[in-house]
Amino acid sequence: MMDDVERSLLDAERPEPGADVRARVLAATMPLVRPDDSRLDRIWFSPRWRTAAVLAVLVLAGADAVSGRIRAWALAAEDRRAADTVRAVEMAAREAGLPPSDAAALVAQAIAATRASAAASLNLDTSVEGSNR
Amino acid sequence: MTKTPSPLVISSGVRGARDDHRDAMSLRRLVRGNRDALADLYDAHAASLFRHGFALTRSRPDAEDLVQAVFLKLATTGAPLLAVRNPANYPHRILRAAWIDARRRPAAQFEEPAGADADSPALDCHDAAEAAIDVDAAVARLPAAQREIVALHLIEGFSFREAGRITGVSMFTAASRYRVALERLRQMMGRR
Repeated sequence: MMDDVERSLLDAERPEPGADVRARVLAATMPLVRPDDSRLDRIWFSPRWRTAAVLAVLVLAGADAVSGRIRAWALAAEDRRAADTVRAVEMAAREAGLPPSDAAALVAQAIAATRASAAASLNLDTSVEGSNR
Repeated sequence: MTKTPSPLVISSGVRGARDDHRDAMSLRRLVRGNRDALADLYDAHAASLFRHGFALTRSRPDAEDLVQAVFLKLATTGAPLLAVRNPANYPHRILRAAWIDARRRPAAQFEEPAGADADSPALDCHDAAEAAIDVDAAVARLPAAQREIVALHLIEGFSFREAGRITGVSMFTAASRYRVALERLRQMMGRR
């Protein structure tokens, strides 16, 4: 809602630049216009390039986060499998009536075997990643 | 997909048209060395810039010098012009920076008009009733920052957010300056 002061300000005469100002300003400034030949600068200051760079960073960060999550999930699955194996060995030893010391030794062997196979699969993963690079 | 020029959102009732797309294209042409782009920018913005400069300096020659400083800057900036996000605000920001630079020089070119002081109280209603003055004289008595916000918001149609960006203050400060300026003008013009 406009009040009477605002209305009188709007109705007041507005100053305009003199007729000769345009010619004077353009005569003084136009000769200074030079094409900016620096391709690197033009790319750097281009909004399109900046948007593309930000998007690329976001995509890379997203891909990194997703691959990390997949890796963590794979390791967790591996751990679960090892735990199941150890539990199965323990139960089998108990059912076979082995003394507790022998059962413990078997379980230890089973743990070592699952660790070795997990490490081998990890090594295989890293060597595959390395060869892909 | 083609961009259609968006009309200026006007909060004050002033009619005006702003074409950011056209201005952005002019800036791009300017970076490529097209001198006519400078003339196009002059035709689109010079009057508004002059009024902004006049609001700050209350002097026609000084306002013209500020306009020239803006176009000098535009002519010599080069590729960074491609990164300008608000082509309508940008020349006004250059003008303000040029005004501040000129005031900082040892022999300050732009003097505040007599009676314009941010700390001086406005005429009280008493005096105002006796000596109501015309709108131009009343505006001349305002401090530069208040004259500027009146010119940018009311006359040029910039929103408080945009005027705040141009003047380097928050939207709320810009709105507050505007309200204070109107209140002072009301008192000086003897209107309640």
